[in-house]
Amino acid sequence: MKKILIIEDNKDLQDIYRHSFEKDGYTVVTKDNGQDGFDAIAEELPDVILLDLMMPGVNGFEFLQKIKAIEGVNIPVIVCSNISDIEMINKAIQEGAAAVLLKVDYVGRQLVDKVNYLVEEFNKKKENTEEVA
Amino acid sequence: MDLSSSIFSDIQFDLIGVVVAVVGILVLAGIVFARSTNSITSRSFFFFAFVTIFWGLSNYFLYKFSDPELALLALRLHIFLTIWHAYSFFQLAFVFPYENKVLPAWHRYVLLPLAFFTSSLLLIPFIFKQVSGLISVNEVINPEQSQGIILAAVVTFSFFVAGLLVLLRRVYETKGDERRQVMLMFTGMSLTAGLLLLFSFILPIGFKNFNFVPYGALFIFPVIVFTAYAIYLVELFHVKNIFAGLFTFFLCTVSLIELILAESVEQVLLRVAVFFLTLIIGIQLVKNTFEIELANEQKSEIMSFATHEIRTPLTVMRGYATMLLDGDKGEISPRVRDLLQKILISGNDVITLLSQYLDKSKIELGQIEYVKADFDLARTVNDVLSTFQINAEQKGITLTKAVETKERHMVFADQSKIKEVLTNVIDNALKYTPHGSVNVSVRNEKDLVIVKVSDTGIGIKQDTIPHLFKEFSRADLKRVNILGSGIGLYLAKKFIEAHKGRIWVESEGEGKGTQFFIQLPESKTKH
Repeated sequence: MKKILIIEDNKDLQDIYRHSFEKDGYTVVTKDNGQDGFDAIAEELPDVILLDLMMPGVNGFEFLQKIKAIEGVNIPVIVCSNISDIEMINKAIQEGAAAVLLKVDYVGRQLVDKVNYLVEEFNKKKENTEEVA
Repeated sequence: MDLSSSIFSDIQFDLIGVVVAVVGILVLAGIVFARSTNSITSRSFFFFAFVTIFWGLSNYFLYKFSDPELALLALRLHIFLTIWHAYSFFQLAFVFPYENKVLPAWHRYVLLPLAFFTSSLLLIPFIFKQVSGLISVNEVINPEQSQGIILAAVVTFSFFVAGLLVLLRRVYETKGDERRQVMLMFTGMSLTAGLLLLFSFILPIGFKNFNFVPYGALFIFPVIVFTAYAIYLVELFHVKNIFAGLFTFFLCTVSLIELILAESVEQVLLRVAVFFLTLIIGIQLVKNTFEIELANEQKSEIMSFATHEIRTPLTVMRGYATMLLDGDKGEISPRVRDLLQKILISGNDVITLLSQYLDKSKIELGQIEYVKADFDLARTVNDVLSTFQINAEQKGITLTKAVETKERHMVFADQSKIKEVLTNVIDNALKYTPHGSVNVSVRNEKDLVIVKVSDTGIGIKQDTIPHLFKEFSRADLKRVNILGSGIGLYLAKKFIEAHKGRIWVESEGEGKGTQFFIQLPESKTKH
């Protein structure tokens, strides 16, 4: 079964996301901030991480930096935030995000479909890199 | 007598060089420092500029004394400043382009004392014993060197080379805009360092060739030009508006040259007053420009923050409404379904309005950015059309497309912005067409790709057409009950024009439908 780690401080959005992904057969783990999310990776070993950027404590950017620093971790991190500044988007991509989505653009099924598509793309790319290596 | 040669022989190019370089670096340092005093890069640049100014002046006075004692003093002072110039160059390279970078312990306990120690040696005859022989004004002096000159040379040379190597490493460490900043800085600094090393260092010290020493100040120009260009181009040190700075620089240079050319004490006094007045007013002008720029930046930050804060509850609202619509919380009646759809549509309208106002504010502040790439415009049109299909069906309008999918309609543009324009135009066509049809076509014509959106709707009066793309303009508010920001077409025009395209509208009048045309240049890349 696919597993998604959702790092989002808004409880309502956690609830909505949990509902949408569970409906698609995902096991959903939710965390309120970057630190708790980071600590959960080793234990939960998710297939994909959905990450908010603006959070108390360790924010999304710091989370990306932390995950980048660990060797051997190759989980797609999809940033889903309501920040639309190009600078911020570029920064998230530079820090290793697989994609950046504008939260308000995706509801319910749309978000799940998009995440599934991005994970598929990520895995294809990963396989190609492994083949080349 | 040849008049032109006499005029040119009277002009002191070395002096003008010093004046322009000093004023240039002074204004540049003023701009950088006035804008950001907390950043380590700004402080280091200021320090570098400060030493550069004194270095330029000392270089000029180096050959202005005929008394050997004074000449020796000038030479010692100049080499003293050369060492600190190299040190400040290294420090700037080391911290660039970061706002906060702590100088390591070895910098404080090894490099700084080394610069102090070496430059202090100039006070004793260890580096220069004396200036021998009689020399006349405007001739480069010939000093008697001692063993210490090697130490001074090695230290200065090492600081310069290390600075360049640090910058070069940073070129490989950085990405995107930051990399462009470092590249420009590296180019300017390496040119200056190269010229200085060759003409003011290797030739005079190694080969006793002093011919180029008087032009020392000119060698600072690459740093000035490349830094100014970087400020203009990539907002180096977060400064965008450099024109006030350039204006000040120009006025100050002219007034300083006038001061130098003064012929009487009265003229000197008057021109000193004029120079300082120009400098003070100029710096005030630069400062005011920054304050406006800062206020604009804050305004933009507030807009971004507000947009983010409003989007979050909207996302929640849409999320729960979708959950209910999908029947995830139990069966719902058609009436409730209808109401939920209205909630969603209104939510979408608010999201669009928010994005439009954010874009408008960015356009006004000159902060809008376009992320351009090659894409097939016909495909984008198809994507946008698919989002309107249900809406059109519900309204009983036929939404058709005439897009030749075999042919490619490639454009080099910001896809998201073009999508916004298409969405806006098609949405308008549907809104202003109570019944009938909306047709969208895409075609290639010469080097252009043209999208045509035609409807059988209410049409537009001829006298309304010229005002349609202005802010807060609406075709006819009284005739249809339509929610809108009134800036959709205004933004569409701005976006399309930013891509060197054109958007226009044709209508034969009321009740006779409307045709919107969006024209973009075809991508030059071969596909």
